[in-house]
Amino acid sequence: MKKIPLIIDCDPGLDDAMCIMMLGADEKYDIRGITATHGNVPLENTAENALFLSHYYGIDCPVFRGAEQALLADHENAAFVHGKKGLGDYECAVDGLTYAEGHAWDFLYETAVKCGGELVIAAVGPLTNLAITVLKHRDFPGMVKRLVIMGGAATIGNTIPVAEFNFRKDPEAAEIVLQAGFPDVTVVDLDCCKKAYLNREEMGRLAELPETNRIHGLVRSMMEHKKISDAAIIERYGKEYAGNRAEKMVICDAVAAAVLRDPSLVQCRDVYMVVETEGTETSGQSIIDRLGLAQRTNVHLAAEIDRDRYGKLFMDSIRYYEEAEV
Amino acid sequence: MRERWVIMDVDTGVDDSMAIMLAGAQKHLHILALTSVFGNNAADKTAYNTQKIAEMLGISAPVAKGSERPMIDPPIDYSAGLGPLIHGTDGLGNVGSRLPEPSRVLSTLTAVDLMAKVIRECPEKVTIVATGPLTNIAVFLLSWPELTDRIEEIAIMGGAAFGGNLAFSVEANVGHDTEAAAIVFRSPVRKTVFGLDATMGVYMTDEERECMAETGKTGAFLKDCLQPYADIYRQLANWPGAVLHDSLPVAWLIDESLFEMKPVKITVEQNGKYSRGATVCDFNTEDDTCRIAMGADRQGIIDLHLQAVRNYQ
Repeated sequence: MKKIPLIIDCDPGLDDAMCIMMLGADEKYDIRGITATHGNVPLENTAENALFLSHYYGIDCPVFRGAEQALLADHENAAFVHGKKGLGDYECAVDGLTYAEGHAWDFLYETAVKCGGELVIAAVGPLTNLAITVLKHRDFPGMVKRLVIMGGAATIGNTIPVAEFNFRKDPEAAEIVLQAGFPDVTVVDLDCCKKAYLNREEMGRLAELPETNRIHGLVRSMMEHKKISDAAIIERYGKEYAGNRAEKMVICDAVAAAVLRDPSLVQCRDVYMVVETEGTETSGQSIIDRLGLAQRTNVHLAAEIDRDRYGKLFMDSIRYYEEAEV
Repeated sequence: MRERWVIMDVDTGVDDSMAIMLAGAQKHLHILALTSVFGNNAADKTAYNTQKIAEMLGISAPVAKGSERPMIDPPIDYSAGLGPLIHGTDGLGNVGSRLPEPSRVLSTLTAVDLMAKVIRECPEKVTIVATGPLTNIAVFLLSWPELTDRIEEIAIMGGAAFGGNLAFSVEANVGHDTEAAAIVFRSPVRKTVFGLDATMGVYMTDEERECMAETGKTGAFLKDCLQPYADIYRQLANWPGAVLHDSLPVAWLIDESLFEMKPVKITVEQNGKYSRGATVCDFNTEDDTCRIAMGADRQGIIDLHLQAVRNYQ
């Protein structure tokens, strides 16, 4: 079977690590490259983490260092959730690993050209790299078969009350990408991600992942770090926004990966979405045209997701890394 | 039911008319004044319509004309736009001419000073029901600071936690005077907010409008008054009936159990490419000085109207 070419644009980040884990476990995708962006932590860390993760998961692909900062905005990163270096307390070793030469945006564009309209992109960080690609190569959007974005929030955000982190971190980039005319954009927003949680039983299995699993070190460390990040989130945002973190684990970027692995997990609603770039209280908000005032749509918004099937797919992906099966 | 002394600040307006009808039929609500503001139509028309509706309903409270324009934004052009389309060019569903000319004149006071007068003279704290842009109320709060603590509550139709109708995330009453809304939401007065999250679910179906018409002359007039409004909601938003936005704050004063309320901190976005006029809701608060309705009992609120309209037979 011919594999689907895929580029993962990300800012690892623990949830990005799980996104890459899930996509690396899907034989129908040919991961052509990983492009790192600033985001959860600074680029030097996200890029290094991306480099490490591709090696750790056994994904043979080039890793590019992308944008160091947002186009214009300068909002706070999420190190308080992901740990100073982005993978919680996990120390990643990148000795002997090297980045690919060239720019992330040129790689994105050239791969799109090479793939002749077949390229799929998972964008699970701030959209700076994609925005630069669009600005530099205006014919880029038309060559991308499918773009799946983790970003935005239809209702409640996780930075300021109305904005989700990835869009908040670079509102201009998000607005550029959404208005660029990509033919098939699925937005997996925070509302959707919150519906796709791992339950207590699944969390328990992850915390005790056996050593026969090649990625047990990272996964166990992530579960250990969860206690720290949960406390930090509750302290910063209060319980109303933090939700019941003992019962539920939301790994946002993994939900985007799940949508790529099995689109039938979600029910989408076609909507027109814009991103506020100039608000004092709202910059980075994904705004949906709920009443259809614009009379057009630009994204498929993942509205409902089958939690149980998502949980199963996540756990199955983890199992892919069992020694015996590799 | 708790007695209330009420000022209605309105931009009449089709749904304002329904709200006034609902309030006027309640024995426990003492309407002290009706003050009008630009909004659904120009200030002259909303004042005139308020007079006409008050007279139709036999409401004897004085009517005063208020602000003609937003505090900072330029005056609204009513030769175009959604206001005249939704509420009719006369602001009363194009059937306003069926009502007689008002026999009483407008108050010689401005809306703001009439508010101050009735609040000063009332031994009880006063509730303000606001169903238009918040300009009058903001100017009142600015110019009569010593009366702020005489206000029991401002029950506001305006804003939205999620969504909008003037723009994607901007509701019309707030968007028509962003600064006024910002002033009102920043003030320490108790506020109860009925935004689109709750109001959009409270629509009156064609059948229910028929029922209203059968109660008599007032019901029949209101049914026709709502016709273009109902048509537009169906046409533009494929909505199953005429949305009675402005009735929600009045229904709140009749039966609080019809609503699902949440404490909220509301900040009005004054900037933004898309968001100027958005009510930014932060639910991470224990302070219930401001609460927003996140749901309402449609049938319960419609039934209140069908009962109320019988009082005018």
